[in-house]
Amino acid sequence: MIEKKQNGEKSVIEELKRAKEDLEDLETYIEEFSYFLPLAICAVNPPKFVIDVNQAFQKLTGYKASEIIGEPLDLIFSEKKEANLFLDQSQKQTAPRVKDLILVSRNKRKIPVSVSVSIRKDNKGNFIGYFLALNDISETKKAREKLEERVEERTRELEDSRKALMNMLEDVEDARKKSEEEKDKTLSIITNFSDGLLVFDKENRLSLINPQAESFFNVQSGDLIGKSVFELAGESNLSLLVNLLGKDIKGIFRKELKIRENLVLEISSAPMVIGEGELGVLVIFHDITREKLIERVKTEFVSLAAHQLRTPLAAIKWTLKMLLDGDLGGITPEQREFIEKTYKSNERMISLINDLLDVTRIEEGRYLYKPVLSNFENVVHFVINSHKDNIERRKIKLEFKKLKTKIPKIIIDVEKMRVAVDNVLDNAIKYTPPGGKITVTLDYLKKTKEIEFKIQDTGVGIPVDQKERVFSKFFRGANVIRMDTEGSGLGIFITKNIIEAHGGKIWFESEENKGATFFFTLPVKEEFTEFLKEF
Amino acid sequence: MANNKLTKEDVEKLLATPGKVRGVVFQTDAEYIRNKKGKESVAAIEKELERLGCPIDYKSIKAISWYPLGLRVVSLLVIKNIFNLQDQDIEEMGNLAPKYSLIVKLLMKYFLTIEMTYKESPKYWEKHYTVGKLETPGYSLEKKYFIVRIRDFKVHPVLCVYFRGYFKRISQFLLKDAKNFKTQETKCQFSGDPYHEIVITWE
Repeated sequence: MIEKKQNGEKSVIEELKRAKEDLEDLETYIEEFSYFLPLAICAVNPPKFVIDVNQAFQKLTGYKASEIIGEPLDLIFSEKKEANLFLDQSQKQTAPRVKDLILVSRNKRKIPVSVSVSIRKDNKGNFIGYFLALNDISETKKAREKLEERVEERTRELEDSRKALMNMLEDVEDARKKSEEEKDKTLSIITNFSDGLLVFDKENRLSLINPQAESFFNVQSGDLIGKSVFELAGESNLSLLVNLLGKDIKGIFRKELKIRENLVLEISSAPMVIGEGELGVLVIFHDITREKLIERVKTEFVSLAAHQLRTPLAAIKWTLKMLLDGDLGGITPEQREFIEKTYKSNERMISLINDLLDVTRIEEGRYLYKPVLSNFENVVHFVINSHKDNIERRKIKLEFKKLKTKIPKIIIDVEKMRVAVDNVLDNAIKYTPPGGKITVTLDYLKKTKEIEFKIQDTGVGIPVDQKERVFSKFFRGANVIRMDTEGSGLGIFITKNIIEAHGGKIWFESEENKGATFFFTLPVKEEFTEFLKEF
Repeated sequence: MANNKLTKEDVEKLLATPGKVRGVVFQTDAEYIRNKKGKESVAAIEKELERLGCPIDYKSIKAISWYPLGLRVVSLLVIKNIFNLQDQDIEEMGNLAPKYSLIVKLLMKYFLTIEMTYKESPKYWEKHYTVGKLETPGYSLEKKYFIVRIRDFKVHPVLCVYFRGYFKRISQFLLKDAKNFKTQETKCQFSGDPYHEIVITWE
């Protein structure tokens, strides 16, 4: 019995001994586990005092165990209320909860940490505290903040880009509206333009015809838009126009075209160019019917007046001539002097009337030519000779430069051509002061088959601001008027018309007070029939 | 070094003290000294204890193992003598001991509420000592005091000082918003009282 009791006690002691060893092993294990665990862990009692920490916790917070144990947990957090609330709320949860908080280390460094809380309960289920695991998320947070910054930056960039794009779109929209407005404005101008307009594209297809042009030619734009010049030639109302423009729509300037009895158009065409690119051709029709009518009436009036004046002037001339010739009896020297002056004035009047009649004939298209094959050099000689006395009287030196090569004969109206040469020579003599020089040159331009006439003087010249009007009717330079010289202002106008009627061109160069040089060219027609085509 | 060195006779007498104590008290003593006087300081204590014929290897002490109560008093007195600790140092040592105590950590389940803590305190004593008895005659949160009594524990006066700090810490673990904790031994067996009575107050 005693032995049995002793054995029982021995067995209990053995069990206690084993239990003690197990507890000691467990203690060692917990210590080692706590020491090596890299995660910062602390145990907190229900009133939220820190009651234990591991090595990692001490390393993370900078607090030694002896410093932090026994201190309230919120000592290590900057958001104290939030930390306490987090723990309180965790009591209601069974699963561990996680929250990001800012840990304030012993040296006041703020460290973002992810805090996991697990509730401790005893074997009866009573709440006995918390376990907290603190994970340093500085790097993660930095990376996240950096990422957020980048996202924010990128978002800002995108927002800026979006704004820039919106601005561009607004600008484009504004530009489009302006362009539309400009287009509407242009269309409005074109539509309401008093002149007729045709626009051909680069392929010479009609791309626009305004209402005025439709009215001029009695056509509808819908029937014509998109048609080529060749196709337009088939339209009877447009055939005259197409003949004038040609297949390639040549450049023309102020060509007159009589469309019907009461409609005369002045037609000009010009290429439409933007930068170096050609968009097409613009053809403008200006209604000059009224101007032509007025001009005709005026010309008829001048013609009538001139004719009516010429008859009594002729009578006066012959009466004065008879007086001067003594057919009506003797006259005193004083009477002769007066009659001679009157005779000269009458002659000038007759000359003016003749010029006016020439002009009216030109304008009426009745300036008839008598073309014959002639030597133009002889015409020049004739005119120079007719002015010989006058040239000598005015003490002007005249040189006629003859060519070494023989000038071919050309077909001209000799009488009119004398008038043409006479007008330019007469001007040169009148406007060159005594002692001056006049040089007449004749040349043959083989390349263009033209005779070139040039008359150069050392006279008063033409003012720069008046050069454009030289070939107009009744033009007389301001400097010439001041000289009180005679002249109707019709000579150069008549000459120009004579030269152009012969297919030639006329132009001049001049510098005021240094002289003027007039040029004209006449084509050398090989065939008479070719020449006749011009008339 | 203190002048009143323990003799081997003193040690023998102390070692004859009945009762046992958990090894954790040696650990907390060593931890305190290590923190206060440096790592090498523990070696000095061990050397003195060896000289006195009761060697202790503090590293090998197990917190939950039982050790002679007398040895624990010798350890405390040696520490006190070597580092010339005053009463306030001993009280501080007692105050910090719960921080390092594994037993305290394990017993935290009794610290759920003040009421529970107070009620369970006798068990807490039993977890540490095989002799003596802890009583909890009363407390008032309104008047801000706790009273604890220890009966049948006439071991050495140095422990009276030590316990003043120790029970202060236990109170500090419970009252979060309180401050200025003070403890006073109002009765002591060494003064002829039937028990030790410690009153803890706070503001």
